[in-house]
Amino acid sequence: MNSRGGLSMVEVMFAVVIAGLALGPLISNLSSSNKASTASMYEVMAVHYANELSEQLRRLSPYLTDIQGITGQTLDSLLSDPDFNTELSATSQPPKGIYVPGTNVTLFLSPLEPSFYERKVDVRKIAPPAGLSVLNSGTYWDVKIILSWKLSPNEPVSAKHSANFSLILWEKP
Amino acid sequence: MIRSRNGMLLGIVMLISSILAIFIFSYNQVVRQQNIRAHHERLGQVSATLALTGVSLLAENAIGSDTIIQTAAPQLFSTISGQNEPESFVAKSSDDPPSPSNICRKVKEDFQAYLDSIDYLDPDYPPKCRRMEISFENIQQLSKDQTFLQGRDPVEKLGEVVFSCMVECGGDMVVRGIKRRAKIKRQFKIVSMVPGPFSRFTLFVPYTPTAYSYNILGVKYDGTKDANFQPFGKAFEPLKIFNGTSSPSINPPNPAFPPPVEKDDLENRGWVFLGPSSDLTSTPLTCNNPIILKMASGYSTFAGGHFMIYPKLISNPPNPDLLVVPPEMINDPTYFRLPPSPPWPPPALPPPGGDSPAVIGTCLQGFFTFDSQPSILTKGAAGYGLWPTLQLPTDPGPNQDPSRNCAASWLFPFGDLNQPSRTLMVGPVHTGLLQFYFLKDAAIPPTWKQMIKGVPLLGYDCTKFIQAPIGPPGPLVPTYADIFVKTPPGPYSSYVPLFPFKEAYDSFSRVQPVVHLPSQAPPRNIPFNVFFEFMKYQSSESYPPLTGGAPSLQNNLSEFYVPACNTINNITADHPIPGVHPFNPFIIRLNNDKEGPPTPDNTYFSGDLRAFQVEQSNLMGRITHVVDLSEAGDLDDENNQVKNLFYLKNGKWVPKSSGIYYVKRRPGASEKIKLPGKINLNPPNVNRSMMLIFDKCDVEIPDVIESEYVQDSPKNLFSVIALKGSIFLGTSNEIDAYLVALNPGDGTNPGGRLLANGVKKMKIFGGVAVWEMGLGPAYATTMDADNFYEGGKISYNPRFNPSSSLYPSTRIAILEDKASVIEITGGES
Repeated sequence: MNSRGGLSMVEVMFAVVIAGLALGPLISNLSSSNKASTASMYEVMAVHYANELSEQLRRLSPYLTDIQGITGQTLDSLLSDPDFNTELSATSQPPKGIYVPGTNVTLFLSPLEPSFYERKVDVRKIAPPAGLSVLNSGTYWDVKIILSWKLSPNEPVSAKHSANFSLILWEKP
Repeated sequence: MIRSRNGMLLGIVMLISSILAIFIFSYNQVVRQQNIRAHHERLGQVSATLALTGVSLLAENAIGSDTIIQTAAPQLFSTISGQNEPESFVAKSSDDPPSPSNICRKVKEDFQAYLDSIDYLDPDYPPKCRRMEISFENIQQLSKDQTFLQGRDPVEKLGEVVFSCMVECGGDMVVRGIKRRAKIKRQFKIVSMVPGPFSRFTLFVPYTPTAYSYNILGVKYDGTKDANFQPFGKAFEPLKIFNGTSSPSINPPNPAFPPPVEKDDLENRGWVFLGPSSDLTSTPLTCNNPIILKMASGYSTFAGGHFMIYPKLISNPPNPDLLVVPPEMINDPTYFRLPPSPPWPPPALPPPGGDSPAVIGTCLQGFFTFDSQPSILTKGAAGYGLWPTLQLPTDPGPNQDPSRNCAASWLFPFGDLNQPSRTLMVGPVHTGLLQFYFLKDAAIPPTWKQMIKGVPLLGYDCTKFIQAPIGPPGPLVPTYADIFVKTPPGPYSSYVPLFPFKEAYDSFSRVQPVVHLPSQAPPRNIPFNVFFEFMKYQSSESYPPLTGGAPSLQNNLSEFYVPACNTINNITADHPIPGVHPFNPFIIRLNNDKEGPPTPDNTYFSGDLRAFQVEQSNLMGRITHVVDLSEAGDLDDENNQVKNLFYLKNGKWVPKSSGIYYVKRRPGASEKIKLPGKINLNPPNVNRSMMLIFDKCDVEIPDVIESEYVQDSPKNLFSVIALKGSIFLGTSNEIDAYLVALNPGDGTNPGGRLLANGVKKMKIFGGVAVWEMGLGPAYATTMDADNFYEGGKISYNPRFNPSSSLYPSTRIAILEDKASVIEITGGES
């Protein structure tokens, strides 16, 4: 009576197989969703980090001529300073902010969340396109802001999760 | 029952799996939405940043360019807010059809070209600039005051300009392109860079210490410099005023000035205002007295030449270098009769009708302090004895009565011989001239009766006469001078019944006011405007019209734009001297509607020129930038902060932006603040106009201020205004600016003057408005005249003239340096 009342091994095995077949992809999906969710979270964070930096760099635009006069360096060489970029990527920063090299200009930036390993600016001078009629004086700089992060501490850097942002600065003639 | 229980496990597994699947797929869906949202945020951020970049470029170019707002909304520079202009409107959009004035479209296309160079965002869907727009909001008139007492341009206005730029990033099957629209709102003002009503004048001096404050110039008879005449140990040279840029040349002579040219000429010229001189004996001080500018003798350009006395030079002068004017004549045989021939007294009355008609000639003569004739060596006009009250120039210093010496005016309000530059003289300004007379027997035209003892009658030539050596019996005395008075004094009084002196005198008195007779009180002088004869520019053929008391003001004066022309044309109780131009009220019009009634829209100023002051209260509305130096530690700090308004380019300081700057000095400041150095208003691709207003103390201009010339005058306007101090010039080189120091200051810190800082002469292309000029009472020094004792040149820049056709071009749009509002919104389609 008791044996007749229980589940047979076959039934259990069948249920396990069915459950496995059903749950496997689901769990796998769940895992990738988790990763995607984390990635989107970091992307949103990157947006905020980039916004914070681009806003302050944009405010420098009227003073670029003065900065070049003071430092003797062009914007691209100034912002590619390794120490400056190291400070940008720090996960903890002093409250006094980060100085633009050779100036008293301070950038106040939030420390990066530990999963972020890079906050970098890559500046290049835009060659004046042909046929300009109004915006043809001064120098135009393309400021590329790169935020890179890892989804997990053990993830190799080569996996490269990053977001690029762009800002154009105008240096008056 | 058992069978049903057997399938239950599978059912539960399936159910749980299904529920899990639902949850997981839901989660997956949420994550996916999160991903899309994050991606949207990133694209939105990039779009917003680039839109901000784009709108900043549009706004910066608007600020940097003097014309972009004018191109976008030219009507703002000519319309009056509230009348024919909406408070808000979209001026330009890149969606509008292409046109040269569609600045938004041009900037959008240029910006897109830069965006195309960004290849790392999404090569398939690079960022696109979708639209740029300039609109205006909340436009109001800058000043609604309609008393016109401080100068008002009804077109000046303030409002907000809104720049917007929409950028789209991304765009694929999953994520649609994200548009963001950035708006920058900045306050703007449209103001004229003309500093005020005084800039209608080349020279504006409301206060004159004494009637003779300007007379200090030593001139030889022939018009060259009298280097021996040195008041205060200085040999003065004239300050020449050029009231326009295109003075007609009369060297070689140009006898016919076509009337239309003349009319425009007067209208476009800078005028000169010299306020009444003070009565130093009254308390409180009153200023109701006239000003006498004694004309210099001679023919050289140093003394201005005789070009102004008559419109045409005499033909066939005895010496080409000694050009003189033709004599003024009255041919009136009814009243003027030659006296009988010697011996005197005549034996009997001449028979009725038997006396000869005579012509009385006059020759106007400028003042001179030196004549080269041996017998009167070093003596000036006084040495001839023709004008008994004149003093010899033995003591040209402070002890000599300035009303009686022979010095001429240091101020030449009419240019010089090479560039005559007539003007409208406003204020009780008279010109001092010496006049001598001669008689001619009308029956024998070539024969002139002698005027001065010892001069032969035959071949009398006034051009030679006074140059000729005068021998014994000297000294010179006028022979016939006494016949020109009603009651002849001296030995001829007994002959009164012989000649109809009374009528002759009355007739002669019509031209008499041109004469400077120091003994007369008040001096009877010709108003400068009559002297100029500029209002009609008559040719010599019709000169002089002798009827009436003021020949040059007759007839068609009203055809020319002369404010208050009826007043100066007619003798009234309030205005007894025709030709003297009233300064209260004085009207400055804004446009060509010169003769109609004054209205708020066509009147720039109406009021008392003498009472006008530049004050903070009437400037604040127009001020576009305030430079607060109250935190500055010392003068160096203040100078550096003023320097920060400029940037250095090729060794010259260029204003960073145009505008009306009010500089608030630090508390307790008493030293001169200094402009940075050489100032250049328009290096390549830059145009700057600037008005610098200092709230107190003196201001030093150490070096040149230069602007490119267009139509013979500086294109960009620069003004320096010392509200309570004086202006010091540290250079004799050209200052392209209007200089204003109209407040006399207080006793301890006098202001209102233009003074020299190590230089002797000035060269200004713009204009000057100062409280006082010339020499002070009893020849007090530290006035403009003794500071700039080598004179110099003030040329008028007609762009400062509120009545001129160039005036609208002085209005510029000034935008707030920093945006008052920055908005990022979703971009509509």
